[in-house]
Amino acid sequence: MNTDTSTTPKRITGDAIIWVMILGDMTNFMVGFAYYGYLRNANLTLFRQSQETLSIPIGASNSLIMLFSSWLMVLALSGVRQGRHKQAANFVLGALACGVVFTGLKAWEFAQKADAGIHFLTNDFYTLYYTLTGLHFTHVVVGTGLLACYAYILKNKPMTPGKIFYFETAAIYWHMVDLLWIVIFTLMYLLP
Amino acid sequence: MSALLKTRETAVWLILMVVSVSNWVLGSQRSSLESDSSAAVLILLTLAFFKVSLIMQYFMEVRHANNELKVSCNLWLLAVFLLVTSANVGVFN
Repeated sequence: MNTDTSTTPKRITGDAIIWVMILGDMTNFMVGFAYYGYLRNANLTLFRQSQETLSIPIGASNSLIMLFSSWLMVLALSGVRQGRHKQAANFVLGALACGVVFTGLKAWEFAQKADAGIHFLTNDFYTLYYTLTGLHFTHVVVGTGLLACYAYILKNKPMTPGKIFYFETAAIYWHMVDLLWIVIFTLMYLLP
Repeated sequence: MSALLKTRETAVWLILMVVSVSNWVLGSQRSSLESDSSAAVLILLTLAFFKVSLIMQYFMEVRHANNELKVSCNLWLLAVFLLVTSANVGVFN
């Protein structure tokens, strides 16, 4: 078994600036998660009743889909580093397909809520639900567009060593999207 | 192709899938966990942040990064774990 897929030890994967942006962006979400916890404990009955309207199977399926897509991006990055651009393009396309399925399921869930007359201002739970999952949804859409660009680029030509770090940056962003959904799903769908 | 799959990252991904399914099963018993919800919240969030940590270390390759990024990410993770978990078990209420 290979021990790792990275090429050079003791370096930053992707652009240093993306790490500043990612840690900042994730901190914003985490503050939102903490505020969610504060309000949840202040209105436990209301939050539990509202949570019952969310579909755990859909949320859990989205978790597994995001994890699968994250793993495909790991394989894609490994392929890019080894100069296998067409193989990498297929992995990126797989990750992209996962992103599309995720957004489809989430959009369907948003539509279900709208049909039931539930909206942003229904109560504190839904205000935070729409804010946090809506922001995350936007991140997934942006990431999906980014993956589409890289799938096209990699399908047509190999990536020069000097450009690989741009792809690493896209991969880091996609992993962040996966990571945030893990916490959102746990907080909003699973907590008793 | 098989060499690409036989990596530590693939093993980590399998662990992540197993923990996710366990989380799903545990969380599906939500109503029966309400009597001791603080313990359940702590367990579910610890599992979630364990997954976050694996993704950062192995998929985002923080474990191969220079010390500045490694220390920054590890401190950030510890801080947000404490903040989010404390808020969700009701420490600030």
